[in-house]
Amino acid sequence: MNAAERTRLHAAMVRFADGDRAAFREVFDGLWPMCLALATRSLAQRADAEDVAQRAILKVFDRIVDLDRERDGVAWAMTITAFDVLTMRKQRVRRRERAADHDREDERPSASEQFVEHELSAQVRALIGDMSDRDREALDAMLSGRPPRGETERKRRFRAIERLRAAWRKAHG
Amino acid sequence: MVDIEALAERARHVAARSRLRMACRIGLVILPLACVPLSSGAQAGACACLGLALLAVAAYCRWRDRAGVDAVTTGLVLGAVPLVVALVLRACGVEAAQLWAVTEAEAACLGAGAIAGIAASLVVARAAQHRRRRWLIAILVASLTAALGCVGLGPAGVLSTLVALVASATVVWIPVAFRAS
Repeated sequence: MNAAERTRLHAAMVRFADGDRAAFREVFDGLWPMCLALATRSLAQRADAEDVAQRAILKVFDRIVDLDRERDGVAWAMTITAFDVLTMRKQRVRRRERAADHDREDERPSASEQFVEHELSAQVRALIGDMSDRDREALDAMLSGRPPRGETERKRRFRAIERLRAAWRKAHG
Repeated sequence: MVDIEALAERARHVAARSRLRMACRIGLVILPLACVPLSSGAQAGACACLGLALLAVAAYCRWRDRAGVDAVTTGLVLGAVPLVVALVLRACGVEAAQLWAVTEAEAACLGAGAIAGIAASLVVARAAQHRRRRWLIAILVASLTAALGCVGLGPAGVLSTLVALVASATVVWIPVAFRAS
């Protein structure tokens, strides 16, 4: 848009703000492509850009009766569009943050998963309780995460796990 | 894809609603103004009628165009001069006499009306365009505002204010209109 067209559009905006209803079409046809172009340039998604441009043009017409006649009306309309673009960007960032938070919540075990885990560990503990003292000591040491002290203890742990497996198969099939 | 025609129609409605809202905002000034004379013993019915008439005229003129917005503001501000004078007279316990009998109350109303009328014409004469319509609106709004204030003084007070306001405004306006043509 060159300077003459811009001046003409501003004059039409002033006429419309002053009560000339016939100037509506000229103002709308002049502003809509500019609002859409600004939104499209600033936002990656076409749908978002169209939403923002529509919201902005409705805001412009909502406030046009308060238009400052001494200032450039086109710049004023573009400022409103730019603010809406910024608002849309902030909304998208917030939406992404909320989605990330939601994903993090998904990573935590659910209540049913926690229940199953608790039941399994209770059954394993019950089986360990029925085993001999040496096997129980070896398995307790392993479950506490302590590394084996020498080859003998490692073999004792291995044998204890084998016996635990056998007991589990016997109990649960 | 955006439906341009539907969007244009929505924008037109939004602009019309916004204009109506702006026009009706004057009610925030006029409604309290209509209640003020009640404190000086004016009749509630007369205040309500004049207040509603003033509100209707002001809102319509403001809704119509920018010239109406400016003229209503001028009329309200200058009409407030006789309104305040009438309220002060009532506060001092002064009452207007019978019709056609000029007492100090009528003299004060005549003076206040004349000041408002002359000022209204001078202010409107400085406008660049729609001067005649601006002048009519300003005088109408100023007359209703002044009448609202003087209603507590009685018919003589209202009449003397309106006669002075309209006559002085017309006398000042004639040379302006003559020069413009």
